[in-house]
Amino acid sequence: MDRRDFIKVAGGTVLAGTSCTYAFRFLTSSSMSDAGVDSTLAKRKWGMVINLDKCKEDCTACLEACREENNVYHDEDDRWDINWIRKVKIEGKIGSATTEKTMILLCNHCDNPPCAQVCPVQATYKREDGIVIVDHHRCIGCRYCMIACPYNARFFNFKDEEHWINPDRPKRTHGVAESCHLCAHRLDAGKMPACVEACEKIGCGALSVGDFNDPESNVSKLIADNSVKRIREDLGTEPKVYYIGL
Amino acid sequence: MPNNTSDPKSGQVIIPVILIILILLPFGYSLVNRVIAQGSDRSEAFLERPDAKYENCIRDTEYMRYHHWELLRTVRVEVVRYGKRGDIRLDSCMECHPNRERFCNRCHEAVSLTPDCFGCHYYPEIFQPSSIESVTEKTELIPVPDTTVVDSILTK
Repeated sequence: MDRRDFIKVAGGTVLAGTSCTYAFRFLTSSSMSDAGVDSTLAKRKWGMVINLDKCKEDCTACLEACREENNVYHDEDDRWDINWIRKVKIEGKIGSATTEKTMILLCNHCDNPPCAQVCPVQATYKREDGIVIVDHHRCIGCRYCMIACPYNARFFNFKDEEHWINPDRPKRTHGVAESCHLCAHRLDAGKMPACVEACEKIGCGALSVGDFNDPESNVSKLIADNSVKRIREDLGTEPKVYYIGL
Repeated sequence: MPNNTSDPKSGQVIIPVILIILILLPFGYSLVNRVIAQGSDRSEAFLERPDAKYENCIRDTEYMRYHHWELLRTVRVEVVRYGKRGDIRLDSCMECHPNRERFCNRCHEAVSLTPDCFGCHYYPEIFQPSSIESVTEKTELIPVPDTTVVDSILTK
């Protein structure tokens, strides 16, 4: 066999081998993705609309409801405290006048979540219905998602929660990152998240959660009827939390 | 050169021998441990039996005894990743096996497993729901999985 023949045979073998592996991968991946996807989840796209005009300044009903529902760790020291949903004061300048406003911040459940992109173990991921969730079984506590999140919505469990407020729901142990999951367990069961229920209970109704894919849903109508803003839209994260009156 | 050190040829033999012994040491250690474990009487554990009217588990006893963790793991992935919330939950085990210490822990301790389910999921050590008053401390001697089964659990 001369050199020319050897190169022909070797090149042909390599080409055939690589094309076989790609063909095999293509065939298996297409059959596997059909089995794993739940069609009912994929139809929906959950998101939130917050009406800041209705939100009372000193009210903390949603914050407390979230803590009670999801066993969120509370500490007097701000360094260890975890708030899946929190209130901040923002100052705006219109001409010479300054305006103050309270605002609710939580995980924005981005369509293009930076936290999920950076997670080295795929513990953070976007569910089929658009909710960004942390799989705490898989989280290694590297805190990369906390650095990546532009909304500071991620928190790390520096300590173990000792009190089990709601035994029906799991708590988190020391060493995992966590954030709001839009009460995915309640949405799966056909209920509204704890913060939304608490807000309706006190008669504010500032928070509303619904399906963006459905043009008849409450959130789609709110977005169509009002002027809405999202925070840090310039980053291209496509957040799914809309604010009215920001 | 003065012959202060020993014969260079003996060094050529001793160093590889020491290296081989060091490499084989962990294998020998696990072999000895396994022999000791088989010889000891830690191969059975007393577990609490549920009441007769709760005899029907979601799978048969033999499967649950050795593979309940596989079932729970599969369900976990389905719930967390795909949102398929079915009837199988860690909470539903609690209805028939209300006491974690007398049911889960005794077997886990016998095979020296420390699953971290209970760090986050509520399963009380002593818990008596009102629906099962009749559960008493009826215990049953069940065989603990042998060490090869435990090894396969740990490596998965």
